[in-house]
Amino acid sequence: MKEKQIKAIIQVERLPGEPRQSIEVVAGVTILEALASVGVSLQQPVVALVNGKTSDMNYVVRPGDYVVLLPQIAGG
Amino acid sequence: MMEKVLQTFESFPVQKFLDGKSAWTGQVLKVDLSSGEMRVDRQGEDFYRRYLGGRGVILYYLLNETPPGVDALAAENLLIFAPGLLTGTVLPGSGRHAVGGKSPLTGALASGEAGGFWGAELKRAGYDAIVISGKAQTPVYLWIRDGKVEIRDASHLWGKLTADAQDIIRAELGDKNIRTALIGPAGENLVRFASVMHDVNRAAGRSGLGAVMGSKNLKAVAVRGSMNVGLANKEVLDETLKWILSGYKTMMGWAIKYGTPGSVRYNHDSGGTAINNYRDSALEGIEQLEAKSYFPKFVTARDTCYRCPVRCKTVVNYRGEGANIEGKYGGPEYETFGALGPLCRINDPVAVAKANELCAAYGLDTISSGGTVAFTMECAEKGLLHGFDFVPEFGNGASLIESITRIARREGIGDWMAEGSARMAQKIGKNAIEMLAVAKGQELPLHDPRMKNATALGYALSPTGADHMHNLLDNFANFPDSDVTNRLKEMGIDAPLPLFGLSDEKIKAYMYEVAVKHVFDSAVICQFYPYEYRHLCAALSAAGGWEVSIQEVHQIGRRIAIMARQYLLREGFTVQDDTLSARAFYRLKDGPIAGRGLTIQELKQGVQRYFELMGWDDRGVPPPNIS
Ligand code: SF4
Repeated sequence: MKEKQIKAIIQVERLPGEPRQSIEVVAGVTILEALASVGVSLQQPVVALVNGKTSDMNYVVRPGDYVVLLPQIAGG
Repeated sequence: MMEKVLQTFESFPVQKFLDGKSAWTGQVLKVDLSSGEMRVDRQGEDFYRRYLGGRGVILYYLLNETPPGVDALAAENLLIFAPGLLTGTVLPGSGRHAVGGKSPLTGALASGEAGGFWGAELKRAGYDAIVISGKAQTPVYLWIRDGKVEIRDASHLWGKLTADAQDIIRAELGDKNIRTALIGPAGENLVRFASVMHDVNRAAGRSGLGAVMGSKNLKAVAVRGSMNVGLANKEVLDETLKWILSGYKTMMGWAIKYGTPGSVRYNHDSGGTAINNYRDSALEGIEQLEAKSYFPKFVTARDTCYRCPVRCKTVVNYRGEGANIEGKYGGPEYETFGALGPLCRINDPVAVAKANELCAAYGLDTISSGGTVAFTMECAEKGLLHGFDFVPEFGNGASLIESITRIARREGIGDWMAEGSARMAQKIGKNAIEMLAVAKGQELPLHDPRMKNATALGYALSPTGADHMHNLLDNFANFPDSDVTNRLKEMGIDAPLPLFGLSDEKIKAYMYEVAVKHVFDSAVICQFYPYEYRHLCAALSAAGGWEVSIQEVHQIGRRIAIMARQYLLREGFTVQDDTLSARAFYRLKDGPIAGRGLTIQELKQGVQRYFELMGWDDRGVPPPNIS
């Protein structure tokens, strides 16, 4: 139970059709720091959805958060 | 039989271009369609160093050779086709050119860039730009081949869809490799957001340049060239070429895999796409427009631009219930998906792809088409339209398709829609004005200003009315190592920047990025390549033969930003126009961007801060005599 409280989930979406990755991270650091701490690198810019709300990449992850990273590509 | 060739002319590039040692030909072709007179402006190194080409050259001629306040559809307006210093060179992504003039949609600058092959072909035919004035008495087209120019009769082409006109031109000139810039029925009928199509599937889409072309009775500009666009100093480009060729598969994996349609779902999910004319936060059935379900059913091939290994363009062929869709018209890009899909609450990919095909065949801007149709759908929903036998309806794909045809032909409600949503709202009244999503009368692209606040500022300030291509998209500056962030860091900006809001640092970042985008659109190169300053400087140095520093890149970008502002002011725009219409301030109650967005006051402050950073006064007037 205690373990669960300090963790959050980050789901990394890749390009459409490629397998997504679900990672458990420790809360209390930014999304980018959390990814770095588990050695995940992103190939392209993303936008973070935190519990369904569009959020800054420097958002500090809270226990129990569900973060989805959506790749962003140039418009045109 | 009527004489097909009405006038002829010939002129040839400077020797160093013919020798393959220059990226510029030194020739700007001037065509007066009223008199049939043709001549060349000889331009030298100084000109290309100051303006590069593209938007820079468009503004140069608009400021110097059009009377202030001219009607965009009058003979005195200019239609300018302008490749840039880098167009047609060995640099991948250099198959682009700009088209410009005064916009019949906004009364402001019209400056749109098209990819493909036409721009490179024009330079290979010996011209850096074409400046067209006047109005032909009867429909004509231009035929340019290796320095030789003909004005030819186009009576038999008038009224034809773009692909049909192109087929006839290629057949009668006996060369299937001819590249064409042409208008369809929408341009002929002076639809205020008609596009100029290139090889039928690449649009200089925005701001109604197709109507300017139609107003001049000019159906097409056909080109064929066999000269080589050289470089003044090849070696300078070596490292950049290596960087692109060894890295493009990784750097541009997204473009290779699905192109811009790959972002339809993600932009929707992150609140980046406006839905149901800005009132909803999600579109039911969005999965049907998602790349992984859409591609297998619709995309049969990929296409590219001049010398580009990426091939990000899609070719849609479809035979099925509801519609047949022809591959020659290409396929919808992200913006088109957004405008014809979610904005109109449509989740049917057949309807979106068919409407896209019709826009290319009639020659219509897909963004303003979608924006105007969605606006009309809401007017109809609210009972503001009376006495029409047909009005479009949200979520109804057939009514979208019917609307596109009616706009191009100016039939029934289509005649109102052909004026664009802002003019239509003026006609209907206050209730309709509340539903508008425009800046300076141009429909907003599908990057929601409530999510992307620097983009909102950019929409408000753009000299063309809302545009996403000479702008800063906040999401790219919020990510640690995007090309945007890397460029900003080099300018001393503390990037990544916050996703939301308009911090001082972000307005500065916007200013720098707009300058860089003016350089991209003047040089003219593809913005999908993640160029950093060293690549841009190397490319410009190699092409021009003079050394271009980051500082000079910014000097050029700033010069073009100032010229664009001077043009706007000259055409009667004031600081009151540097804003967004009502829908940009409408707050969503739920979804990923619930409650988000700038207030009018915040936007105003942002505009003032930008003026200050540019050294302009509080009305946005640059000091006199700066260059
Ligand atoms: S990346 Fe796409 S748009 Fe850019 S030059 Fe290549 S094919 Fe054309």
